[in-house]
Amino acid sequence: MSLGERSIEELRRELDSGSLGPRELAEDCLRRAHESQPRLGAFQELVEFAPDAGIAGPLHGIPFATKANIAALDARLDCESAILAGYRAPYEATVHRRLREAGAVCLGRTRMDEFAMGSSGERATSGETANPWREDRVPGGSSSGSAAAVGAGIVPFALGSDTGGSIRQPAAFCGCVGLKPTYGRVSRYGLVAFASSFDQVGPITRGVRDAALVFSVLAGLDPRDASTRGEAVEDPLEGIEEGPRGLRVGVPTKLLREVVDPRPLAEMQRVLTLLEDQGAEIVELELPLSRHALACYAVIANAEASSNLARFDGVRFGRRAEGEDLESVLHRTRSEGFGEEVKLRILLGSFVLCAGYRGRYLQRAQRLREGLRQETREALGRCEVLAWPTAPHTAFRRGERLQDPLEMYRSDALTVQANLTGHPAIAIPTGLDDEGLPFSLQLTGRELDERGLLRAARAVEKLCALDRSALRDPWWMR
Amino acid sequence: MKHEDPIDEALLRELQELAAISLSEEESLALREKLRRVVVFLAEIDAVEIPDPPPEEPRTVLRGDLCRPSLPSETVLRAAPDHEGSFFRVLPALPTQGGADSEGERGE
Repeated sequence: MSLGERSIEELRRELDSGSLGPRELAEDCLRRAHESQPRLGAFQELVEFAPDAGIAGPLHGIPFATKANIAALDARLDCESAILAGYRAPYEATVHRRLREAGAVCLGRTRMDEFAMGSSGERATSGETANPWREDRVPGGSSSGSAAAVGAGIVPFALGSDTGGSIRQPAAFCGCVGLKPTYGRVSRYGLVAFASSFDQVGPITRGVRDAALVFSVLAGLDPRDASTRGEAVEDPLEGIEEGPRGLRVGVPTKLLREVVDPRPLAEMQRVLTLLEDQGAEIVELELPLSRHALACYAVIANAEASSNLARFDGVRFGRRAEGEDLESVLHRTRSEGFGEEVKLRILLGSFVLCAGYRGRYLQRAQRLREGLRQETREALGRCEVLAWPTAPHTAFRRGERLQDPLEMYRSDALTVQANLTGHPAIAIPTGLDDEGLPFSLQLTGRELDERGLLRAARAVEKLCALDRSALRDPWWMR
Repeated sequence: MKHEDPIDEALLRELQELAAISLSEEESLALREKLRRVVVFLAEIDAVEIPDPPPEEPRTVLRGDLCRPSLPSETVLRAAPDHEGSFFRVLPALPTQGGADSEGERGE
């Protein structure tokens, strides 16, 4: 087993005992990153390891990778978009500062769909990322490189950002754990905004305990992000091994039968039966508004995106196109700088915001979002967690959905709910399908109750350990 | 039965203007079709029976309007495509008498 394949806890024990040095660990991860890069393509940039022996935090010496839309001082910050080519961040994101102060070591920046708009990792200017389990499949998106790097065992954890499922869906496709915290738990300072009322940063790991550990470092109030919450962050590792006895798991079976492929649905039923055998109670739920979550998300998120991306005007950051006057420079900069999917989303956002359509789309979607919040809160009053497959299917073929935006968006049909309502949610791998692709169960928890959510996720993980032997001699190292 | 085109040419031009994006002919063809498909999908929002929203406890997420230390202007300007002194440098926003100065105009 390579060092990068071990859990953070295992690595910490080895580092603490002196049997492993931080440099040896970082160099092993970097070697694997370089060797995998030509075929797997998880990274846009790798950095040289700069050991800092003075930091002795909970992640001291633990390597990680970060997504290309999170600022690190003087590092490339282009969100995989031509419009930000050459831009380097003049400040450090709070999540990076927290990880640095905890002793973690950033080894590279990972590929992503441009401006985090995508579900397949196929829309990055620096190149595509493949799925570590099968070369012909996408890694999911938009945190494609982060999930591929962790799934492949190159680094023990990576950061992702999740606006509509961009941590959880690629984590699901790559056989990883992906945690989207409660909205406001983790600072967005230094995260390039996509849709500000949805965006959250979170960890992608190979195990639930590691996700809890990284979350405990990331979470907390930040005066630089007014949306962060001041409530205390309870130690998420405390009680994490308690098991599922007495756990009430809500399942919207009727909705899932409509939107989920038969195999992931059968896999979810298998896991629920295992949980029930261990003393959990399965609660059937109706979530009538949730079937409209994807349309609701598409309206509000694109409206926010079109507003947020207005800042890219060729004046303050990145590249500027030539033009005769200010307006032509503005139009040419944006037309040449944004990729097709980003343009589509900005146009969609402009459509739902423009006079004549705002009431029909945006205002109704905002009311629907309130209804969804209420519906989810009521459901979580009857159970501790909601269970659904993370995606309606396993990883799809590369190129298969690029020309069909609706098919691409449907990949996020079950993840957008938690972004609309702000609840925490986690993706946990549960097994492999007959093509060798990971299945994933998603659990949604009560607001600010990441500890309860992680406890339930750990119970699932213990019942369904993923067989990773197929990655011992992987296609991307041959 | 005639169906109304949800994204006709005039609307697509208006959206490009609002978005400050100019599509090439090829892009217009491709994106117009994709826009149509998504807009038709979004129409389901119109048909949903949405319950009256429950009274929400108002929760402000705005911080106090206070002056705080910020990045030095030279750090920010270094990342800009063009600058002069402590200003971002841009082309004229309005036509100037005698045409644009070859040195450009300054704006903040």
